[in-house]
Amino acid sequence: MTNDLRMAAYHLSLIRMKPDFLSIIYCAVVAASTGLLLTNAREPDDLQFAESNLSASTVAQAGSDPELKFLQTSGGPPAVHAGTITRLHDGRMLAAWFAGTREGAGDVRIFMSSLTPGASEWSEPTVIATCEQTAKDLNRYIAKLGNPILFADSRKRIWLFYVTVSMGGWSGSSITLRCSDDDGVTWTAAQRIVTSPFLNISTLVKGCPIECETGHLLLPVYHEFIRKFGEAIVISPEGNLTSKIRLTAEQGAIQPWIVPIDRHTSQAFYRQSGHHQKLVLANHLENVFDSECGAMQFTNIPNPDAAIAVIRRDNGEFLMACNPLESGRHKLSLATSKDGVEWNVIRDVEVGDPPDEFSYPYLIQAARGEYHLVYTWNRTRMRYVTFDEQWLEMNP
Amino acid sequence: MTPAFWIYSHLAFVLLIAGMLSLLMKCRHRLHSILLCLLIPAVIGVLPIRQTDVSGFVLGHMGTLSVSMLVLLTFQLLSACRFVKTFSAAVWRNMNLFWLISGAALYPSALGLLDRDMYAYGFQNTMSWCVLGMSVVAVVCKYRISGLCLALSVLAHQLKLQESCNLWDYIIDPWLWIAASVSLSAGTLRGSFARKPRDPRERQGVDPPSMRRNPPTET
Repeated sequence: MTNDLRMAAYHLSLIRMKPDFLSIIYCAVVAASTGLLLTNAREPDDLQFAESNLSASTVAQAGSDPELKFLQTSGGPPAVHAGTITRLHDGRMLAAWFAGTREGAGDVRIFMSSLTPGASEWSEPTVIATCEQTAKDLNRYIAKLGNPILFADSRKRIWLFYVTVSMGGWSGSSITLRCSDDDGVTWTAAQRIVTSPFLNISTLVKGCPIECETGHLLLPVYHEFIRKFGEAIVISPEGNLTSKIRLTAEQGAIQPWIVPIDRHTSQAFYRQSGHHQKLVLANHLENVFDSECGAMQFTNIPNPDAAIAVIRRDNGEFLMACNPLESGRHKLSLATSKDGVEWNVIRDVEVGDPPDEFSYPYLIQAARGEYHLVYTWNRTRMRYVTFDEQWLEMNP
Repeated sequence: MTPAFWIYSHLAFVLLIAGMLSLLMKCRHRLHSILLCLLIPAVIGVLPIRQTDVSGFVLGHMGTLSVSMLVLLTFQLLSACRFVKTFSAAVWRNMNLFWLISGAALYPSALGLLDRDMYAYGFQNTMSWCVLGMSVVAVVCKYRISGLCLALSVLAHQLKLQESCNLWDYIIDPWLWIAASVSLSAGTLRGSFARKPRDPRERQGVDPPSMRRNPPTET
């Protein structure tokens, strides 16, 4: 009996290994890994959208006509693009964009500016990210950077996501993160977020992050190398990537914007890139955290392969800032929809003639009934518009 | 960047260059060989270039190397400097087959060529347990270096030695996948052009006496 047991153990276990140096190292590694796995083992949190995404906590003062302002004084870098905006806990608005001699140049930097409540002008822009500083932090060569996203969470932390490229074009991008706990005065060292096994290239960011109840952020991103499609990543409060969700396998559906409807359900909207039908794309996400993503639908809003921005109004309707044209970006409009598929253009923010460009909108709702929009103005300046619910309801 | 990742990325550069140098450099004393192979890239790696140092510049373009790649490069260095015996052809083939299959499952799905994204599983703890189990199976089957690669990948992932939070990035990298593919293709081509066995026992699939005396085993 004992012999049988010993024979079984001999065939099934590691007894056959000679107790040499390699075996001892292996056993130590397995023991340490098991210990760490047991220590770190934690069931993933049941993620759901925070209440603040579903209804704004403060009510805006009723205004009248929208305010249009430029974010930076003239005389700055000639090429300006990709604006983003967020509201701080003290009511200040914080905006960022990238600027340099041309898009993709090595001298492109990310600038930030703030607007104090009641002030008439935005503050003088300050630089918050450069290629040199990012390369130093990441210990790797950085050829260019772009697409900043600013987000102030409920814990008074400001998150700055932007893309960096070491070689090639924008499809070689990876996402970089910096945080600030003092309202943008100082920033943490840049940290690379690894989202792809293929040299960590081709994940870009454009849409606004959404805060979860646990403090995690759901960040809409997109992939561009070989195939173009929308994804989302979940970032822990410590800044670690905890999961990745494919929103759609549809080719050409990029730059997603996720709009929460309730704690789990949301709707995603996409810029179309290389699709035969030049329309904004949308799909319903039953539970994005469980990868329950619905089939793609075409909306009735034309899209000239240009970025869009979507939020939800207090009355439950969706509000989209877009270029509702089949080609060109010389018109920037606001459209509303009840179901996210059938849209009506209700306001024109900018109307020009080709080759004018009013593009890359970034739209947020800072307080109940108060909307803030930034966009690229002819690729030379960044424009800011704020408007309220009353203006949206008025007949043009 | 954490100090652990700085050390990791410099170690990756040193081992990568040392592995290549070891194929070219043949000193009389094996200790001299290994020291020279390690010292040259260690010095070159910290030299400043553009906005960073040489190792950061190279890895910025190449991507971070996986733990498995580092283990295999270490083994290559040690065997080239005659510290350990090299693998048998059969062990090499099976190990390469494993990396090839892993990469073939991972990369097309991550690039969107398949509906399901295999990379997303690498964020889950369940995968770490599975890989640890696979490493034990590999060791039991006498693929001890492969088992060590997998176990060390899990350990490095738990310690977060790289920037990545995904276990796949610790197990495999595109360069390891390419190296395995090239090695397997070369082996297949060599096999197809090799001479036919003369020994009738070899034709029947029976090992000749010389093979029975020295069976292929992993060191």
